[in-house]
Amino acid sequence: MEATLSPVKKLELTVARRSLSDPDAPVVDQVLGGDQAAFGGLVRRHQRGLFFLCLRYVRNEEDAADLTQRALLRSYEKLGSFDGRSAFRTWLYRIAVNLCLNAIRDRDRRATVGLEPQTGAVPASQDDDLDRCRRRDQLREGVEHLPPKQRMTVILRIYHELSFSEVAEVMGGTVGSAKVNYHHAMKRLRRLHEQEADR
Amino acid sequence: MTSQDDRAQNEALEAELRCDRLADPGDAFFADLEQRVMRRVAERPAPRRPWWRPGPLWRWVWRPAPVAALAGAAAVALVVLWVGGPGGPEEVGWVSPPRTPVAGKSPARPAPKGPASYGEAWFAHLPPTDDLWALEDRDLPALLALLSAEDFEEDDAALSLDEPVGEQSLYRLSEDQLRVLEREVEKHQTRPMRRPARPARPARPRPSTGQAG
Repeated sequence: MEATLSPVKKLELTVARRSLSDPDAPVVDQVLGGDQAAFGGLVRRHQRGLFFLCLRYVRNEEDAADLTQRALLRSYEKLGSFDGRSAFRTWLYRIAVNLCLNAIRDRDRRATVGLEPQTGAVPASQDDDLDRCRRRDQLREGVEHLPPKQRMTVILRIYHELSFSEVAEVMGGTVGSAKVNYHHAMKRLRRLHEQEADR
Repeated sequence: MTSQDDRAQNEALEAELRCDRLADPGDAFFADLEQRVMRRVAERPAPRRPWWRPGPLWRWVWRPAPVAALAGAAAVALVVLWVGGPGGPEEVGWVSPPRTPVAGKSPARPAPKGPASYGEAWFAHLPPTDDLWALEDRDLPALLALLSAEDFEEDDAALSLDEPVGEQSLYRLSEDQLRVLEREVEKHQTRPMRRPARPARPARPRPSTGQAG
């Protein structure tokens, strides 16, 4: 049945399906209708995810909170240009990722700041042995040293549990390129893991 | 290493990466963040749908607004009228008229059937009017002979039709004269020319045979 539809109809169908599956659609519609307070609902729903996404990038709570706030305000200002072809969350994450990449670039330009491995990390529990803790730190450092796109793919895929198509939408690329980036990132991290095990 | 081993290692690594959780700063932190965001939001103008996308979200994506559709249709109609209209764009003066006559717009010209007269034969071998400067000297006297004396201005009266005409004479022609010349050539190219009557030869006196008388 669907095979006989024209491409425009197919796209309309996709948008309609997405609007049904996206819980943010009615709220966005409300905000665009002039209800400013309705944006509070979107903030409550997404600020946590955005904060942790930014924290993975900048490794600093203050900077992450600042970036989260900027991403939410930017999304509010640009809400009129949001056309609903992707989920609201994906669109919001894309704004946040761009802001994070800009922030990292600016920070790198200013000075090479030492990483703060302890900031934001869960303190090791009593039964966590030293070796495991050290390995986790090294893995985290490995993720931080990945090329920007690979790092972004790993963060979105593993920590935010986005599907590859969502990762591709956030990164502005294709599903294939997201998969390739993820594959290369995992290969690098595995090599790092093996080197550590050999020691 | 097989792909299964590869996958198993990847899954182990993913699990290990997932264990690396970041500390939650607490609900108070996020409540404060929300307040800060909403305070800044209140200072900003409310976002509006663009004018070309009226209607609720998710429904206007592929439907252009009536205003935009009307404007587009009007623009297309104007272009069609302008290009395909009776005068065409050259009537407005924006486009120079085509040099070669367009079929259906210029008066129908009879199909050439081959030279029927001496004049037609002579004009058939003339070069195009645009290439007047390329005319050979031997053609010029005949062309100039077609022009009447009124076509020339007084200043150019010195240009006598009797004097031998060469390139120098042609340079002395004004723009208007050249236009007249072109018109004459075109006229004669489209109309069959009558063969000019030959002057009658003077009758030769017949030699007397001496038989008379």
